[in-house]
Amino acid sequence: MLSNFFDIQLFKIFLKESKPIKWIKSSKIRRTLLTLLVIVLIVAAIYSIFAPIIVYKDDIKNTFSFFDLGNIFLTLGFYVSYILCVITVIGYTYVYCYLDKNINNYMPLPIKPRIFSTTKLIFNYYNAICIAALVMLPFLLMYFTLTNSFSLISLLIVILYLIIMPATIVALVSIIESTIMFFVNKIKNKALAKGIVVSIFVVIVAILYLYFVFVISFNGGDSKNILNAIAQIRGIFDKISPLLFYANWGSALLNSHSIINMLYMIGSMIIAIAISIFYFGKIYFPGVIGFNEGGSIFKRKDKVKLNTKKVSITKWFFINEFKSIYRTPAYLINVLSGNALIVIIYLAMLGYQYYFGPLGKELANVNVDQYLTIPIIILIVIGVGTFFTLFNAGAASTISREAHNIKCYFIMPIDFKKAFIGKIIFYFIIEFLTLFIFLMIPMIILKLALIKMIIAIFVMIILCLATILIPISINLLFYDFDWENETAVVKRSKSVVISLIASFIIMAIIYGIGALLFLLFNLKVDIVAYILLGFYILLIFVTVILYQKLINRFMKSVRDM
Amino acid sequence: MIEINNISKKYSGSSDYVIKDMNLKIDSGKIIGFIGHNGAGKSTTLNMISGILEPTDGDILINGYSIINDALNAKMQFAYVMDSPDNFLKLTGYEYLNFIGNVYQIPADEINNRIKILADEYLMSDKLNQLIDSYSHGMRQKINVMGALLHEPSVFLLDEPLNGLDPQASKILKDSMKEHVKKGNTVLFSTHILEVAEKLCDEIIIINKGKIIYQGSLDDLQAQYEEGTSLEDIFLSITSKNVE
Repeated sequence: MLSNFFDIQLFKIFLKESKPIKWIKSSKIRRTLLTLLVIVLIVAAIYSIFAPIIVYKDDIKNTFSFFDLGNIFLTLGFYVSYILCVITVIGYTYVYCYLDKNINNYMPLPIKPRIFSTTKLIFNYYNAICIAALVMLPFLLMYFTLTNSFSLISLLIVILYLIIMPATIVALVSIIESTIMFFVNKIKNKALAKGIVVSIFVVIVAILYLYFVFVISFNGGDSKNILNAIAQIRGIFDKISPLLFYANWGSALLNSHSIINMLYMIGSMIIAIAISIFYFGKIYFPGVIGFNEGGSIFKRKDKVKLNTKKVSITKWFFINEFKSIYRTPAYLINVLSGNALIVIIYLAMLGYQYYFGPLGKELANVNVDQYLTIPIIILIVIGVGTFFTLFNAGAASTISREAHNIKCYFIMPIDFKKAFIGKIIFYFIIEFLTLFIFLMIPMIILKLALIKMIIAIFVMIILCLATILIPISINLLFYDFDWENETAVVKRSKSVVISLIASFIIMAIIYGIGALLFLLFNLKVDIVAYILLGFYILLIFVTVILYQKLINRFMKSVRDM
Repeated sequence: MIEINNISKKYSGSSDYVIKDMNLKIDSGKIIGFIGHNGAGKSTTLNMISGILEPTDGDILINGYSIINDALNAKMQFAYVMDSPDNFLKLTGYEYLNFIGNVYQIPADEINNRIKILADEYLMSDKLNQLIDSYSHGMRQKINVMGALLHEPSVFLLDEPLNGLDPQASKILKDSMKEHVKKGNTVLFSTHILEVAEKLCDEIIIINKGKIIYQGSLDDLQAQYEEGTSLEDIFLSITSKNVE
């Protein structure tokens, strides 16, 4: 029966194609040990980031038990994992089921469409579980560490939630996306149809995020009683948000251990899966064929617009980096959309709070400038900036993404080092702009002194300069020109994964040093701020030297390839 | 003119030489076919001439400029069409050609004139505003050749240039090569197809196991064999002798 729907060999191939660390050519045991080491490092890094909370954990524990907030972390984890799971599944279904170039290799094979589509669904389900579990992990860790309300039944509910919730999301998303893609095949203007698909994806993601943020902001005003605020949020979710029903059911199950909620969850999962297997199986292949026939999203006019400007090689590399990203959906989703979404959500949240929430009224009567001294500004910029600037999937794959072009550059009369500055400037600007919007707008709202804003910009520049060369250097060291598809190179190539781990470690060091100096050694805020700033200035020199050495090594090793 | 002076090449991690003590002088105004079995060292030699690979020993001069010590000037002298045309896929044909024009420091107006002439010649005028990603293999090869000819290089290197081209594109490319040589330039291309070499080349170079075993005109080579012996038989004979 199962073999009529699912092929384990096919599933294994899908897994191999997308395996995050398949580039590690070692034995299975060593690979498992390495994976464990990576997980331990990430968990350690997460704990280091929460260092101040750990230091004050006894106080927090008492507060938690006093207010009986045990389940709040898990409830919040349910909502966050639900939202992120929806967003990633929308992206994954689009990328793995339609954008992946390997699909064309399967099309001519005598595989039953239903088996192929169901195996794809199960593969998406596997990915969704991984994402949901990864998101829940910090909430679980905090829950175990900080509360006294741990119980086996809570853990079982979390596990049940992590099994059921992703399955239903995968089923629903696949039904919606396959319907859209099926109609792509019917519409004559396929380029327009594909453009609409991408737009719908972006709009759905943005609406979900904004919705979540607005509801949180709306309730944030009553933050004196956190328990009450969470209950209100859940109440509002229950009333006006059928989209978030799983998180609601999950949290209700957690609080009341209601069998009915559990039956709702399991029942709806079975129905959604059954419908999706039959429906997706019927219209998936026609949609894929339609998508292949669709041509480019960026359809162009036949007439060539002549360019009469001379462009320097650095500027050309800068422009080309931008063009290659916006013309490749997989790059756009992984490199720019994260930053863009964060900025949009943040601005929406800030705007809402300022115009409709209590923020605007309260700020009118308070002079915040006197409390925000220059060292505190430096600390804020470092704290936020460290989080935003360290990991950059685009910069960590910029060399690998050039692939065959690299050889072309070697035969051209161009200065490699000069040309690559264009790439560095591109990613510097992206990081700086994200950070600038994130920090400068509240500073303007708070009416900070001009000198403080100038210092904040100066610190932002230092941060971006210190961090931008790290992912690029990692990519110079671990370049890969033999990637099988665009998603693979930007999402799970060796340099991207190593860059992610490195950013966690550096983040942990920065936050860890800050927490240690401030909390354990009782140093003044001023000194801690200047020590951390000094660390970043030192990092600029280290990364520049490292980059110069690595680019020479890269050129030599590529020649010998 | 290309001068290869005593070059050798071994890849890192390998103790075997792919090319050993190669010496070669290629004069201007000729089409030269570079012939050899798979793995004989054709692509390695072309990659070293073009600066993609660095010789382990020796030097290569292009119009007197060393590709090792004076790389930028040497690279201004030649153009190289690689065996894989899957490059710059996210650019439009026009953007790619414009980039090449910039790199070779052609004045902006002149770039547009040359693009127009080449686009007409290669029947690509209505395709230049499309992404190279959407081109067929043959069209990608054409855009690469157009990019290579844009700066009117005095040395034109091509690695298996006729692979995957339709008869029309193949004819256009062969005509371009002949035209280019008429202007006093050099064309050096590698090929497996002996008939093409027979019809197109003024000279051939046969390479086997990293060593040049013949350089000269086809007529001189055929004169050493019985009348009517095909180039195919001569090639197989000469390379098998070399193996022995």
